[in-house]
Amino acid sequence: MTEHVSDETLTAFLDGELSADESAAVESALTAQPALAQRLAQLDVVKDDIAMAFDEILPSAPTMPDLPSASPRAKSASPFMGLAAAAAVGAIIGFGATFGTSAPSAPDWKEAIANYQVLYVPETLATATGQDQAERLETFSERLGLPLKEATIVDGLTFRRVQMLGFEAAPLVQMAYVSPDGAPFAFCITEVGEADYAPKTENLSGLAAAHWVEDGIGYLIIGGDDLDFVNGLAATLATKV
Amino acid sequence: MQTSFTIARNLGGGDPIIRRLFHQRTSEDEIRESLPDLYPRLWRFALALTGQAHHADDLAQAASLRAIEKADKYQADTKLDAWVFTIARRIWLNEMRAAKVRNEGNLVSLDAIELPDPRSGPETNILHREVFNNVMALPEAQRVTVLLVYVEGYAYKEAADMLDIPIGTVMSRLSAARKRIQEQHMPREARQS
Repeated sequence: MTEHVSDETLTAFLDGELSADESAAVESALTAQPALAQRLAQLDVVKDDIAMAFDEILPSAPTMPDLPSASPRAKSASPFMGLAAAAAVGAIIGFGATFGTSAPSAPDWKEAIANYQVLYVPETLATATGQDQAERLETFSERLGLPLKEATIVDGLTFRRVQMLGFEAAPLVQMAYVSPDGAPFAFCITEVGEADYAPKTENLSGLAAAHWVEDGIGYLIIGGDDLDFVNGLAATLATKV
Repeated sequence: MQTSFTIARNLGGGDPIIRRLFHQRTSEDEIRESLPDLYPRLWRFALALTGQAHHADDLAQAASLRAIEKADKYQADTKLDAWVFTIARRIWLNEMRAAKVRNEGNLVSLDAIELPDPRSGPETNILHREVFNNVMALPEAQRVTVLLVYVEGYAYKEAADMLDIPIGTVMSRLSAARKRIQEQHMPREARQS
């Protein structure tokens, strides 16, 4: 009897997911076919080691940030509009990703940032204090060849964190701030292959944004819903970096 | 909470609106109470899903918030952890994919973020660290399936439901993952048999 037993069946056998009859069939096949036993050996990973390895990282988990006390839906505060907008954007783009063409058009750097920023809520930056960021700021400043430190002091916003992300294989620095009412803002800098232009304001993914390009470097400040406010921020930031 | 139920029963009787009103409140309470304990596992799930510690931080937070928002959709007879994991997975696929933060997308972290370090200790941990790295090196689909079945201990059927895939796909992902992990062990323990 040389009935073929697939790797999937062997895996289910090892995981105890087969019925008693199926298990018995695999066992008798194993005694009858030495090659099968060899294949089984190739799949035989110690599951307990995996579970233990992952249990050991549990203490590395960050503590849960405070959740808003009232049901977020009940509040009409704008910060949560972000999540709702993210859901909408996600639904549309997710649909496109599933059914669309396999070669989507090259994404725009501003949209990529906006789609990322839209996921930020006040709690995202709750644990970031803006302290101990000096070293990172210096490293990233060197990497971009731009002074970032000045940009941590902006009227109307409190600096919280600097992060290195990437867009199309180019480094993208994201400086995160919060406004007095808790709305998250981001100032992003990355190399873009575009001609220079002066600050322009527009709505991106439901967030107010202002962006400009200078010497091939793209700058974008985004957050909240007040176009005039971000326009003012852009004017300030443009003089700082 | 006992009291709410009693009041709901006395007041509402068969009235679905009153029942729902009370149910809504208690399910949100239940979720709020359970989330802090669940949070490390949610974060670990997010880590397996996203492969990056800072994405895991963001995703675990977003999923917690969403769970509170959607508390009224939570059925008391379902497992809360499975429900919250499913929410996290949807956010990752539908919203963060759009944001191009997945590795295959364009917004990739260049930050030299060390993966969480299993607490240093006796040499058994060296093996665990290696196993952890081997699992994290798997493709996303295999990684998350391994986490659900081998770490969280879900049955194939449960994992299939949470990932929205047929059981056969769970089996093939696990079988491919097992082969890869075993191969990576080979060089060391190899061929002495």
